[in-house]
Amino acid sequence: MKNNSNQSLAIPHFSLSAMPAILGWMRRLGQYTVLASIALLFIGPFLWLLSTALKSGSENIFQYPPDLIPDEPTLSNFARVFEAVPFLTYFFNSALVAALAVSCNLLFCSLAAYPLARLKFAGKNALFLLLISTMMLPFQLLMIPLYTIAVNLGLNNSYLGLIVPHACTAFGVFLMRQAFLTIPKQLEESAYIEGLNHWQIWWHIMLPLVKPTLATLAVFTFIGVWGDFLWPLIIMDEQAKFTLPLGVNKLAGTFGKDWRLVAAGAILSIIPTLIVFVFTQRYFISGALKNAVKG
Amino acid sequence: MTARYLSLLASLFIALAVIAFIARTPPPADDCTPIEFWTMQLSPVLDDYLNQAIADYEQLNPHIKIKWVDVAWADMERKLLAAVAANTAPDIANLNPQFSSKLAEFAALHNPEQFMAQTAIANYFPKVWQANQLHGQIFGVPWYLSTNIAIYNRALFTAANAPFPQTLADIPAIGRQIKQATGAYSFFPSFDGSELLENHVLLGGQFTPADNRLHPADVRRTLAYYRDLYQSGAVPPSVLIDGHQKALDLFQSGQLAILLSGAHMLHSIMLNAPKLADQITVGPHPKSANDTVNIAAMNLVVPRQSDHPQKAFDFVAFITSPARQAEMATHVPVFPSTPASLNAPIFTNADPDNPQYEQAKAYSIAQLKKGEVLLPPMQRYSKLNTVFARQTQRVMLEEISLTEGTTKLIADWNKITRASHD
Repeated sequence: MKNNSNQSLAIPHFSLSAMPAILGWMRRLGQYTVLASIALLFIGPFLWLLSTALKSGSENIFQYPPDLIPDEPTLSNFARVFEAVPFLTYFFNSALVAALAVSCNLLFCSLAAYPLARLKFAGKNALFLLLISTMMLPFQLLMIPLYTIAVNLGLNNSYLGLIVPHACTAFGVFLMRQAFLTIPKQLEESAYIEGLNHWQIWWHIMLPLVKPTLATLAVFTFIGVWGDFLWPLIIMDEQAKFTLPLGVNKLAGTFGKDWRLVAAGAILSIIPTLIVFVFTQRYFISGALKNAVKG
Repeated sequence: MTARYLSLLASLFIALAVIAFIARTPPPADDCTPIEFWTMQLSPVLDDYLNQAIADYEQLNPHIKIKWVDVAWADMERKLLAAVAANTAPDIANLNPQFSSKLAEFAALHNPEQFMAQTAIANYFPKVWQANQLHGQIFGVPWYLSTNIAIYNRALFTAANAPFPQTLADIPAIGRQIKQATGAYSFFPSFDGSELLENHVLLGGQFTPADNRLHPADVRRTLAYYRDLYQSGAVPPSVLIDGHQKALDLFQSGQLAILLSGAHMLHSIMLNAPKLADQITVGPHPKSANDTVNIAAMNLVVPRQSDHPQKAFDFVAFITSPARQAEMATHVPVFPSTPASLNAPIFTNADPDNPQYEQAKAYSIAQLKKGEVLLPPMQRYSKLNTVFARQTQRVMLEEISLTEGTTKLIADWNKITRASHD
């Protein structure tokens, strides 16, 4: 009896002491459930794309209710993509254009942003406002004037024509200016005292301190250039210079679409974007100031 | 950043920039006249055929150099408009009739009758040739054609013990029967493209010849038909927002009993829904009120910006000639705009391994011979289509009555046609 009464007393005592932990655990469970649901919602289309790419020729792509797990998974659709279109050529073109566009954008945006953030000159704010106001204009509005300029410069049907519109963007200048503004002025002043000029300060002091922003801008630019469809379509005629979005679009024929092939092509074309993101994502949450203190 | 790292990056940048700079298109040889020829997403399926045809033409005409550019279907209009704005329009473009007529509104296209011989013009289906006409001026040369046949999901009809519709008017009642028995939808008359206005004509609607005005009784009949389709459950709610691709998706998923589409869609169905392919029956397009069927034509047009319109039309006549079109049909399931091509073996001989397509082909050929392009080229076509669709949708949803819908639609339509003719 004594043992029993002790036991009966111990249970509520144990439960009460464990309550905060249980509540915390349940809260975390709830949070993770919500986050997992949102993640599933976002990656759902990607999973369907992957499932379609892995389905064999005997399976119905559009069956209802949808079947996410292929009955006879196959990689043959990926191989067929390389047979159907010169995929490696398109890949090379995209890689070349993306590499140059990202490099130019980082260089020119950081060069343009530095004086807007740090130097004093007449009309600086007006210039900045004018610059960011161009972000409000949709590309469709700029497309025809931009194309006319590109044609007049002889850039149509060339890689340079694909790169130049991404070489310096208002968004990039804005992002870099905001990053430069967060750097303490004392660092710059110390550099002046050491005898560095503006170019040297920009290169040796400012740029190393905004590496996370540079990485962020690089990822945004890469994603934008890699997935751009409309501008390459407008400016490019030669199939040998097509980028991946144009090339993958060719898999969807006018007289019958093989969705397995389209899905496999789409999966192959987004792999580089995922790789770039994976290698640069750690910079996303890093602050410029954190690096400055370290430095 | 170290100097080594910097020089590595700089070297890479310079190397890439050099590649990008030197990989530019060489100018054409001086002794050749370049003719730029744009098609709508015919590559890669027609690469062999078109490259061979171009090589043959260049051999026959050594001073002509054809530059073939294949453009994505969905963005042809934007690319062409950009090219026109920059004065770099192609010499020949492959366009649908709606966009062709839009360009013709602005007198941006050459009249082929001023460049092509009467003997060449006589090659084409007369009704199809005449359909490419705005204000008495021909603006395009018909190339390949398509006509809708009926593709039925036999299993759904069997489950509902319903007959295949003989006329368009049968569809609402049969649709209700199928919906009640199987839960599946029957029909998907989409609002994209020109299907709505074509159905208006197939249901007996007419446009006044001079100014494309509507007759109230015709409009009321069309609106009532769409309302009955919607209220009977024959069409899914998504018909209000989705296009023809959704009809194909629903049919391939077994949720739609009737697909009215070109014979080439059988190929898509066999690729993407091979298990459904065995349950398919093909038939002619359900009879319309005026016993005709629509023919959809893809045109070749020559923009006025072309520096060599005569040479461009010479190539157009070559590529759309009966022999070339018959040859093209051996590569893709399309139909020619030249009746003489129909005597070629590809159209007279049947492939025993593909009975469904052969049936579809036979129905399509029969329809081509009696069909016509039902929708005349109209000024401000997009706006007219939009006002027709908007009021039809409101009547389908019973937001407004049939009478209100008819009155409003005609008022909106007339406002646009009046503005076009002022």
